[in-house]
Amino acid sequence: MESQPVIQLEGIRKTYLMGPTHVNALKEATISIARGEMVAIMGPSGSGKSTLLNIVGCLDGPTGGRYILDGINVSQMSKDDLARVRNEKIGFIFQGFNLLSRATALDNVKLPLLYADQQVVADMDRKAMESLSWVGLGGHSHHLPSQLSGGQQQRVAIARALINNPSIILADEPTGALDTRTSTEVVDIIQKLNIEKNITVVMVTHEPIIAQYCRRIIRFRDGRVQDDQEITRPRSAAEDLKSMPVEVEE
Amino acid sequence: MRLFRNLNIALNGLRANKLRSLLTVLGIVIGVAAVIIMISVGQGAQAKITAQIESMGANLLMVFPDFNRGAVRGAGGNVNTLTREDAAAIAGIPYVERVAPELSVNATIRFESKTWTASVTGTTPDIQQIKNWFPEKGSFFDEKEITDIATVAVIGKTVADNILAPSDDPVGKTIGINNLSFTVLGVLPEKGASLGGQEQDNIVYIPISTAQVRMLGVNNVRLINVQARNPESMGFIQDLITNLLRERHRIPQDGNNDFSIRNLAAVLATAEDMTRIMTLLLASVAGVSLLVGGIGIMNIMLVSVTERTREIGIRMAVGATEKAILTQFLVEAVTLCLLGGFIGIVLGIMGSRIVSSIAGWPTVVSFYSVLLAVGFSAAVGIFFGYYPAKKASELNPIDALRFE
Repeated sequence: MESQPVIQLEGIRKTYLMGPTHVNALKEATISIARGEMVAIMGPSGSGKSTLLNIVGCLDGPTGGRYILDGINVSQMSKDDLARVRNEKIGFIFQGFNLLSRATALDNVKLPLLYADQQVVADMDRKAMESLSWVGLGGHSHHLPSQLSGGQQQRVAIARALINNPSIILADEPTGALDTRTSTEVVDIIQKLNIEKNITVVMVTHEPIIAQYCRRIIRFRDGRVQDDQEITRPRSAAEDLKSMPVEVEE
Repeated sequence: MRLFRNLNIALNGLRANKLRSLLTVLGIVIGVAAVIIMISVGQGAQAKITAQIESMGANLLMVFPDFNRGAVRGAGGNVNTLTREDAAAIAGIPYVERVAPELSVNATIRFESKTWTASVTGTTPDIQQIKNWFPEKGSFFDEKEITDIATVAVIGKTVADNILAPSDDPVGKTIGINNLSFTVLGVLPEKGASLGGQEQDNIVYIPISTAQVRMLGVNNVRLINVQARNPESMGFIQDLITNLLRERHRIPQDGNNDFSIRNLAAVLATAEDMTRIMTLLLASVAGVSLLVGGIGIMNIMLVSVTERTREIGIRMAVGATEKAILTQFLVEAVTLCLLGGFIGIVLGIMGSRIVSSIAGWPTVVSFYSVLLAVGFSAAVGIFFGYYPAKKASELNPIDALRFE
């Protein structure tokens, strides 16, 4: 099991039709990511990194090529099956947090469970509380997103991504809307879930500093992998936090 | 279990938008309340009309002299074509249960120092069964008193109230009618106003013979009440009466009838048809408002889908299938409609009570009208909720997530 990569992309192509012209967003991507890796995907806008993330996240199907996620070929799956795969195997973290504004933190974290099979209502609350506590927000379960700071909102989103015990977590510019210290805190949690829970993390970012926390950086340009680089000694967010001044939150 | 969870998701969605949910259902509330009020008012009116017509007598045919055509034959315009003998002959027709001729005149009633004007009507004892109206005190006169041309009377409630003191026992009292002295045999219970709004209790019944001989000096009657044994026989009894009277009155083959027959069952049927049409009309107008309410729901649901595009994207990203999104929005719409339906039922029942107390007739909130309202509001929810729900479910999760 460990020998098999959790994400295996073979010659993935993606073509969009925009008016009369075909846009080749992804020309040829062959990437293999092993279980437990923490990978940063970088590249200028239009390089195809967002398209890749959509395909890896099963939000979109490839035009050509093969995608095997956790041993399952998902490249030709129906919409309903893809929804199921997203529910069971993938956790998303977005730049804009994407929490339901009228639902409490607890209800937001619970959301994936509502669409999963065979869940007991009492279990859902317990699992959601565990997940919230894990990101350090056990005391904020009944707050609305508007009552939480940006960093706290992103942590709620991380708790939501974690709740179904996914195989991979996909983070799309997770620190894009946060200041430096809060960014580092969020990255710290992502590093922790990668190490402590052994969950594979794929993170799209354009901030080189954030990419430095990953163990591998894949650079995209013009719809192709330009560069695939191992980081032998990634930075530790926990270490960096110690040297940062503590800002007072209101 | 799946349905329960979908219901839960939808209810949470509605709870999160309380004010909007409430405003959305207002159309349905008004529509359902209107349907219930209209149907109950219509059915109340129908029940009241039916009761009033039936109070005139069940299975009743009324034979009148024909004022328009019969007058040609009558001497000096005096309409005197119907007689007690005609009545007796009609009584011999099969399936005729009872016959009671009537001859009325307005007269002054006197008791001690009080006077009162009432309709003094000569008739026979069978009028009691025909009108289902029996004395509450004392008794009616019988055939012997008709033969004797006796001066006895049975008085209506209004007459009793106006010439007698409440403490008086009317039975055995002597009253004056146009200078003749009558002995009161009994008092009839209150019957209320007739369909035409006529007071029915301002009446004094006396033997038909007394009215003809002692009061008016005539030998005709004003009308003959004929009660059929059952509703089915009324048509052919009507034909038999026509043939019998034409023969008795020696009307030539091509001559016009000098009488007319009014069939109360037909009047009842017409009145019931009319109120039914009225009810239907009122309910359809109310139904239109329900439809408008439904369009309101669709409108809000469409706005809601656009407004919640990102929410839909989030739900899809965490694993909601198209069907789950479709179900959520459909359940939201149906829940809204049913919620509105229930508020509407409560308001409708209250409204019916108010209408009934103002209009003065009983309104009937029938189980069927409530069922209709609930069924209709659920149908409105499904019908008008489907399109927005379908639209929501067909969103592309990537676009939905990017939606600002």
